[in-house]
Amino acid sequence: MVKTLGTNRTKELFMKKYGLKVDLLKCVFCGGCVSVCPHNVISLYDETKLEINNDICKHCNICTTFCPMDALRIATEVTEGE
Amino acid sequence: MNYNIVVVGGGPAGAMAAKTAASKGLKTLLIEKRSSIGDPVRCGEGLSYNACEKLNIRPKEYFNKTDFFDLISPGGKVIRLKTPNYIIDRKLFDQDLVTEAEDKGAEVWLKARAASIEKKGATFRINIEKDKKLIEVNPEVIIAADGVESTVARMAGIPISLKLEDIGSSAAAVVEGVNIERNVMIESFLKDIPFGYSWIFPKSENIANIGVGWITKNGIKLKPVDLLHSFLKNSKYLKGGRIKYYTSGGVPATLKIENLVYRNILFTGDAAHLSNPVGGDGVPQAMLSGKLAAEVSAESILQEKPMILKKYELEWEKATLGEFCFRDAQYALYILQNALLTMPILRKEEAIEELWSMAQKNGQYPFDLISAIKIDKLRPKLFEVIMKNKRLRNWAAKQMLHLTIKKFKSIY
Ligand SMILES: Cc1cc2nc3c(=O)[nH]c(=O)nc-3n(C[C@H](O)[C@H](O)[C@H](O)COP(=O)(O)OP(=O)(O)OC[C@H]3O[C@@H](n4cnc5c(N)ncnc54)[C@H](O)[C@@H]3O)c2cc1C
Ligand code: SF4
Ligand code: SF4
Repeated sequence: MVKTLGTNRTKELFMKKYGLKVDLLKCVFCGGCVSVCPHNVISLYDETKLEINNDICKHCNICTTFCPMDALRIATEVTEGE
Repeated sequence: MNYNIVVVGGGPAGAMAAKTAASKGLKTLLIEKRSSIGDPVRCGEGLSYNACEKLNIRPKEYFNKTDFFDLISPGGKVIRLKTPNYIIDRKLFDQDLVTEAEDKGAEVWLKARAASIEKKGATFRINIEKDKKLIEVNPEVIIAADGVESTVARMAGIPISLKLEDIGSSAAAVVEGVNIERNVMIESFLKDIPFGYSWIFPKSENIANIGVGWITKNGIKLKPVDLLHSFLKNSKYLKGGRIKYYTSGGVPATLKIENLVYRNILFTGDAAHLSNPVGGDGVPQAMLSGKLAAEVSAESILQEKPMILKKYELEWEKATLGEFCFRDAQYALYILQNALLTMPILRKEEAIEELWSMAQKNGQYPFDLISAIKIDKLRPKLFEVIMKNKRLRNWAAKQMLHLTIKKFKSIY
């Protein structure tokens, strides 16, 4: 669902581009972020694979607030993106 | 492929469920998505001695028994309880439990993930992903023992995500080369972090499971992992300790999910949010719920009466009524925690210190609801929390009845 209001839309597109990222060097695959995300965005496939479905992520920062290892970030700076 | 029961998750809840189901003669399948059981560990590894007695768990060579439990208040008051506990090796512990299930005849699949749950008629069936192939299984009962992620519930369409005020976020590690007492378990409550705590659980002479954690929704920007590192750098006992591996994770700090049974899915352990809000211990609850869920399933399957599954809820209530290490602790601690969390900082700190003083006098655990009611500044908050929530009101009423009956029986 894309909002059509100018500022929101720009923000959303920007977020989409950079999106929620997991730092695999910090993540310990505890699954806590999976349990706090209200939108079923994150899946933990096994003890090494964490998948984020950025298309449905609302960038609400709940999971980043939770993560005990500080492994999740919503990348908002160009330098952090691809 | 057909099985009577599919158990999702190879933690303590799943292993107990599979073991119990298989020993009742049911064709049981346990699936675990990781490539080996119990690895990586996500636990502080403290296991209550009393709970072990109740669940008939014999100590193994990798259990370290501690005789004392030190509880340190934010202001530095120390209570030394003479309560025995075990510090276990969770990896070996979980592996042993699953081996016991296999010995009883349960089939165990590793690297096998519950990929989707489908409703067919009145029941759910499950698709398992194994070796990149999807295998459809249509069991009479699915036992969800998939831990804090609760993917089974999500897939079945039950909204189960934990709010930030209902989950503890903990950074923990097994640390080598620390200067500790092998005989003493330590839990300290942190000063500047609302309801934050840290633990040092000794595994041997110089190895301990060390962690810090708190309810995330407290406005603190600091991350548990940062505080853990700063502890390891600055504390005089922990200085120079080397992290062998992290055991961090999330612990439900709320009430159990409202319905443990949803059609033919039975929820157990962390997936049912059975762990304790303060302290975060959940292994005994996971094992007990797994066992009860499997017993009720066996009864239902052998008598071909699907309706009996509902009984699991009642069995859990019955088995845990008045049992401090199980359900009643959860309600009591939930009430206390919520009352404290919503108090102004200063009053809260005073109240906590008062709890410690009372516990010091009586030689008991400080987070005790009965003592808390005696504290003037805490009492109104406690009632407020109870009155706001229907489940807490019901629990409190039942508890009063239970206590009255007990008293009555002791008199006559
Ligand atoms: C940092 C920390 C410290 C803790 N300290 C203590 C303590 O000192 N004492 C104590 O008693 N408790 C402690 N706990 C709580 C305890 O670890 C849990 O309560 C306990 O592990 C719950 O057991 P379980 O069987 O319900 O779930 P888990 O042990 O989490 O097992 C769930 C299993 O299911 C698997 N799984 C998940 N989804 C799927 C799927 N879709 N398909 C297949 N498999 C799946 C997972 O890989 C996992 O192996 C702590 C928890 C944390 C995070
Ligand atoms: S909460 Fe953090 S450490 Fe845990 S799985 Fe998610 S990103 Fe990894
Ligand atoms: S930012 Fe919000 S929606 Fe996105 S994964 Fe995290 S919790 Fe879910």
